[in-house]
Amino acid sequence: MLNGASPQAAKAIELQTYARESGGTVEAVSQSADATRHGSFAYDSDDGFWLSNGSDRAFIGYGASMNDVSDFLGNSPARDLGMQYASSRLVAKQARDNAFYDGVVSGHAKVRADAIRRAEQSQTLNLNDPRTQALMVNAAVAGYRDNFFETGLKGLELASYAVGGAGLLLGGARLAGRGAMELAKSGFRGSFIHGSSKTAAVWSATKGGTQLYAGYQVADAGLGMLTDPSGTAAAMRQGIKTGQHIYHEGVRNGGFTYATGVTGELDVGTKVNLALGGYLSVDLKTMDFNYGIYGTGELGSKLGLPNPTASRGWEHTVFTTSKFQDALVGKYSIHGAGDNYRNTGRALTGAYISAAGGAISGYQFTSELKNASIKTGFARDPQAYTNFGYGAIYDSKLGLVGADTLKEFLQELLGD
Amino acid sequence: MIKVGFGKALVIFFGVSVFAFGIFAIIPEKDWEPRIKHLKKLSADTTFAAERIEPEYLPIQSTGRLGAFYSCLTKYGGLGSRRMTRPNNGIEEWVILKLQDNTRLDIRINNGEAFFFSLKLYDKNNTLQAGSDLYAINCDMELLNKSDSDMHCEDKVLGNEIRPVCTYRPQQPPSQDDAKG
Repeated sequence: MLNGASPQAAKAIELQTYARESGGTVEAVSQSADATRHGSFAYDSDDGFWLSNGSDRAFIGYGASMNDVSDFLGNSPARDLGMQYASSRLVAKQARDNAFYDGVVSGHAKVRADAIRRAEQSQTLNLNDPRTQALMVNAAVAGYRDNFFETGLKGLELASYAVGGAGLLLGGARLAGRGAMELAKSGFRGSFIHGSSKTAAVWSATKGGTQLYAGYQVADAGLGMLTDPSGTAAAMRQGIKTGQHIYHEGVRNGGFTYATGVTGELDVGTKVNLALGGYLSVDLKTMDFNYGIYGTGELGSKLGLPNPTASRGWEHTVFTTSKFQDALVGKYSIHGAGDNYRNTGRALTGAYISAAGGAISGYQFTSELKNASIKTGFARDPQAYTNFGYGAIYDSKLGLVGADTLKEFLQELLGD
Repeated sequence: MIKVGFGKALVIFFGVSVFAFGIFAIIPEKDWEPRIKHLKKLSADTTFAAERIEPEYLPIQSTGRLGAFYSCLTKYGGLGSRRMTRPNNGIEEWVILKLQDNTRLDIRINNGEAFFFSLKLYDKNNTLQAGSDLYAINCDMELLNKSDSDMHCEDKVLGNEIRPVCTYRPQQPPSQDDAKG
């Protein structure tokens, strides 16, 4: 280091000395308008650089060629050094230009991809955004135009289709909202509670998060129905995701209760649904199995095609708890949506169940086996529904549990 | 598309409903269910040992006497009045208390409040004999092992019934009560 000079300054002095000995000059950093910005020992600007041939000094623009530089330097003693320097500057400039151009191009691509991704996300996430709503309406209209008018469906079906998809969307959003609320609440609690309650808050946050996730999926499926009525592939993918979610929730809660049975349903705008079947529960901690018979009655309302229908179906329900009694006995609420499966004219529905006063989550899938309706032959029958259910069981060990609840259902159904 | 007359389906449906109604109409209005009557054989002095606490970190006393919790338990109502009076924390919380006569109390909890329960009757060989219905309560889990004087109950409208909601409120100097809000 020369007299405490910086490495750059030392290099400049070294080069200037070399240049002087060779008969040429290189401009020092002190002449730079903004040394720190350029960070180089020789003056450089955005337009070009200075070069000396020993007697004259010239500004070489970046537009110049090496031939111009060669002509300027002539046979001066500084020729070799000047040519070398000019060449390195021009090449560096070119490389920098290329890099800059690449950066701009990839940056543009990223921005574009980001914008697309954001648009997609806002479709599924921010349902309150007017732009998202406009997007949804546009997509829905396009979907109808492409998928419905071609298949020759009429206004009524279209309207109910829209209602079904929107209902599903809203249901999902509501569920997601609930999950988000849980998450926020538990986050708030977790921020100032310690010890075991802290653990509880963390658990709560996990559950809120998964509920949020499930809600998004339902909302997503609803949006899929609105925007892409012809495709069920997306809905199927959602189904797989939901399955994974159910599995993890069950493992976390230490067990599962699986119930399957036949249902009879009468749908005249309001719905009445009776189900009878068997259940099996497992406690993952003790590996205790329980089984028995369950019966449920549900009353509710439907958003969808107004077409009085009587049907029977097959329902599968998974509760993410080993406490079959708590899950199956008593009042519960069920929110679901569905559509006809392909061209079978039979409905497939998926639903979220809140049982035991909100303490237990369940997931139900129903497939229609037979139906009789006033109007037949619909390719599609999108619908969303909310029911209140009443359940009772006959357990192999406990006997009849929840008869009072069934009685309550019948009173509700037939009046006191 | 299966061709079944809509009217026919309607008749079948209501036929089934009326049949079911016939069965359940014979159930008397209240306390018809025999297994809950076992509750009367218990008392505040009945000892218990927690057989299962789920999740394990719940701050529940593992042994002791039922105490004030028993008084609260006897104020149970039908499932139609099952309500949480504390915010739902979304966690699976339940305990099974094994009582001195081998009966199990199966209690579902939310945020430290028991909000429904059932009784499970076991014989001397620890074999499950029968279970009661589920019944709604609103009892602070801290009431276990406490005296009745530390219990504070308030009647509330819960679903289709008016039932007491009982919390643990020890008798303390007024200043500390104020601090608790």
